Amino acid sequence: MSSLIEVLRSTLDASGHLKSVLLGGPRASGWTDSARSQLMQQLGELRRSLSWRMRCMSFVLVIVLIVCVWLIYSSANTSVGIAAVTGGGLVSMLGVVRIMRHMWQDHASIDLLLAVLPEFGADDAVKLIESYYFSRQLRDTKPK
Amino acid sequence: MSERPGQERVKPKDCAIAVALPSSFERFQADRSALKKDFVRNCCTTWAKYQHDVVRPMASAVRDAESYGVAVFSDVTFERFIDLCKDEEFKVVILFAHWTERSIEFSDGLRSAEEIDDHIPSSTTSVLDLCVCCPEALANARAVRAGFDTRYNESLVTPRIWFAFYRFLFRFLSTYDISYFKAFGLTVDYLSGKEIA
Repeated sequence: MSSLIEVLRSTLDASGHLKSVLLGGPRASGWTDSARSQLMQQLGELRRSLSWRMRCMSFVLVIVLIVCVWLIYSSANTSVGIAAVTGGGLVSMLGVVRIMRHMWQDHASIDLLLAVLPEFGADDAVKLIESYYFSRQLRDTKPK
Repeated sequence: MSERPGQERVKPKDCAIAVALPSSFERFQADRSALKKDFVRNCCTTWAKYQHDVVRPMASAVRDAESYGVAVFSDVTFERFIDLCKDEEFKVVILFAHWTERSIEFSDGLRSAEEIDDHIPSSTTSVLDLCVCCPEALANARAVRAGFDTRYNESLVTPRIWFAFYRFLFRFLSTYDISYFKAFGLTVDYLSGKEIA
């Protein structure tokens, strides 16, 4: 299952825009309309897959809540039982919420890319993709 | 017989790094619309990629170099570079810049190899390290040949790699009592996995 960043990486790699900046030499070749169409198709598929995964995660979240409430009742409301279930439930929910947050970010970014990519010329579109991809890389990696 | 500059022992404080590439967003933006500039307009048009490939590695390398006592000059203009070449305080001048067919891009625009050669002092005893893509025309120019021990790249330069390279080089210069070229060789050996005596 590929993520947004993987889709963008493979697109940039295919067009030579992933190569490091050089202090001279030729620039990366331009982008073609067919490459843009292919990317939009991939983004559309990824969007559908993300929507489905987000629904699954929401379902998991609801189940965790129900199980927690049921465990509290079944442990006869003892303080140890409540503390254990609350703690366990909280940790599980934090994990689920974290994953959902990443999915939501990708989903929102895909929506935006799908809306604006057709409006740009091929050269500007690849700059947009490049900017988005490298901004994410900068955000996700700390300077050494 | 006196030693060639490249064979003289140097310490990081004897070195100066002149970076002629834009070091900030403002500079990058200005270069994007400057007609007499080439690098940003033709080699790297997005700030995020430039930041990823140049600004961030450069900032790390500069921080490291300064901690060893190297003098670092950012957004270097042509005049500043010439002044650095004339400055006897520095035995090694390292230039990071973009090279087009026969010109080097400084912060204030492109200057041809001939123009640089006309202004460069031919009576210094320094090392000129051109971290520039294939600047044979400049490296073989008359004054440069007369006044400097020159090192340059015969292939394309990737700033990400070279900024990291110089971090190791200054570590060697700081640790050992050796010449610049010896330190350069040691760095190459070290990074290519060879054992260092």
